[in-house]
Amino acid sequence: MSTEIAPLELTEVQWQVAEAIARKLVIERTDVNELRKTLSYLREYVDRENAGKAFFDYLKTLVRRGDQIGHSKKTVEYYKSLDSICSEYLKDYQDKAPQILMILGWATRLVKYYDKGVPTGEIQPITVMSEREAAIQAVTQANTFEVGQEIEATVAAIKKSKVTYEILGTIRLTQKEPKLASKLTEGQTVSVYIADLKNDGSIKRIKGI
Amino acid sequence: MSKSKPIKKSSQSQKPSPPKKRVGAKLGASHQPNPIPDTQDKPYGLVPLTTQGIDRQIPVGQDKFKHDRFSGKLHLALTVQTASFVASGVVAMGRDVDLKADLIKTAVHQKNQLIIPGSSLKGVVRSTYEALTRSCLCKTKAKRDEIPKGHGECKIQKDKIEVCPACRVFGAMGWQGLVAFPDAVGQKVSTSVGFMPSLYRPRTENPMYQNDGKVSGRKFYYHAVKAVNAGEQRGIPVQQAGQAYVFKTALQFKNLTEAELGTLLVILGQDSDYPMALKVGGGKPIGMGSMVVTVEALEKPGNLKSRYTHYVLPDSDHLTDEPLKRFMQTAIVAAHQTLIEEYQLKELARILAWPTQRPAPEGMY
Ligand SMILES: [Zn+2]
Repeated sequence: MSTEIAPLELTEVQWQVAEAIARKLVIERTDVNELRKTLSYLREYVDRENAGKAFFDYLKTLVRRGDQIGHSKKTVEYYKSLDSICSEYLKDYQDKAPQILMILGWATRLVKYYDKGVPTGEIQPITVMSEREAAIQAVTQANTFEVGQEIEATVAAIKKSKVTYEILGTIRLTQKEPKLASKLTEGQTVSVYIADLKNDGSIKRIKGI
Repeated sequence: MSKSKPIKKSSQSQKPSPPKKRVGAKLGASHQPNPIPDTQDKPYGLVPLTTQGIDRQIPVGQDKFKHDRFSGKLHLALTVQTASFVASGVVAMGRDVDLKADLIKTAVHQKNQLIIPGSSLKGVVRSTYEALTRSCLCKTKAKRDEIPKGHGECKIQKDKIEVCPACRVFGAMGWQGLVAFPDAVGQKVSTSVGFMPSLYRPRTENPMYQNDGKVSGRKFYYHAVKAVNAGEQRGIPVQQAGQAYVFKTALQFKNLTEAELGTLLVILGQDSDYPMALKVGGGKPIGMGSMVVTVEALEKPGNLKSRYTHYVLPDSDHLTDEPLKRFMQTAIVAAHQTLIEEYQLKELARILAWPTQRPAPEGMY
């Protein structure tokens, strides 16, 4: 949480997020100075509990009351853009304020690069996957799965007859298990088999044994 | 000088302004230095530059204590007279600083105890010290070609180290000064929200310049009875130090002459002939930032050996009350005799006079 030590470098996904934010900021012509001001805010309060959530509240407050401190109507437009961009790309990091700080810090630098180095018209937005999606992709690429293959899973959650299994520490799949559900407990390690695969070779469905 | 004089002068300035006269036209024949334009419709006044030339001398180092000079600490209390605000540069949510406002410009603070950074205080005292002595123009926004000949910033050269009075005390590029200003710390938690109207950008028309385009004086904002408060609708909420809020600090000095110490004391408003207050932080044009200084004690190790061999200073080295007053009086006399330009002091004391009857400025926002 907030006591977490700030990471020294960005993960591959975080780089993409920084990149995506920077591109959006340039495309929307958001004033990077306003981003810098919100960064000074985050830097000042990053060590507090729930600093990440407070940061999102802060962005909303800027949109709502920014006219009070801003110098022009434009300022509020910048805040709107910052708020929507951060909501789009940074929600996954809401409990990791130091990482938000890192990502936005790099985004600020990248904006400067795009501003000076690339004509605005040539900058395209990019889509980024979440940390979770990236982890799943990594696990999928590192393993070959076959239908019928037996693997170990952890029972992550049980809701009535639905059981959520977690395999390889990353991939979570939920399956109706009317016969098994009442016998399992959360956290328990069980065996499952792969019932179906997607076209790309990733697992579509698993079933308890 | 009578105490009431500056006050009378400033209240005169509330009368409707006469039609503007050509700068200096009437006073051309006068022997007063650099006649300056009338600024009564402005929130600031100008202290003219000295005509005596800059008094550059070899500064005394601070590597050794000199026995014929003064070293020690001045314990100061700064009491806020009009709402004061030293911006931290961070806009926060009111709840972040336990104040009622959605958004607020925060002041420099630690755990909601406000702070005046030592550097801000040093800046205020230095610019005043420059104005009162035959000092260079260095902390100025003026461009190089606007600075009158000979008034340029002191430069430390290898073969010739000679600097002006202000650079000797406060330091110059490559030369450490003799005074240090630690942060002044608020004495209680601040609970005050103020509203600062958005200030207009200063207009380009500026009476600081003479006909030849050169700087004619140093600009100081007048004090006002109270600061303009635009109210929540039009103002920017700021985390302010309200009236009677007290900051404390201990100004450290080493190897000052009696006159240098005396000049600092005059600036800190300790000369009863020239009662003045400091002007600190933001919102100066709208009457914010007036602070009255009290010198609470002076620590002056009379005998350096005893300073380092005794844990508690002997009483004679820790001055308060009457002995402190007598000490300050003597130093102030020395300052008037050898260091302070009296004409400049008169002008400065008129602008920075405290208490004042000057109303909060109008039409500034
Ligand atoms: Zn100088």
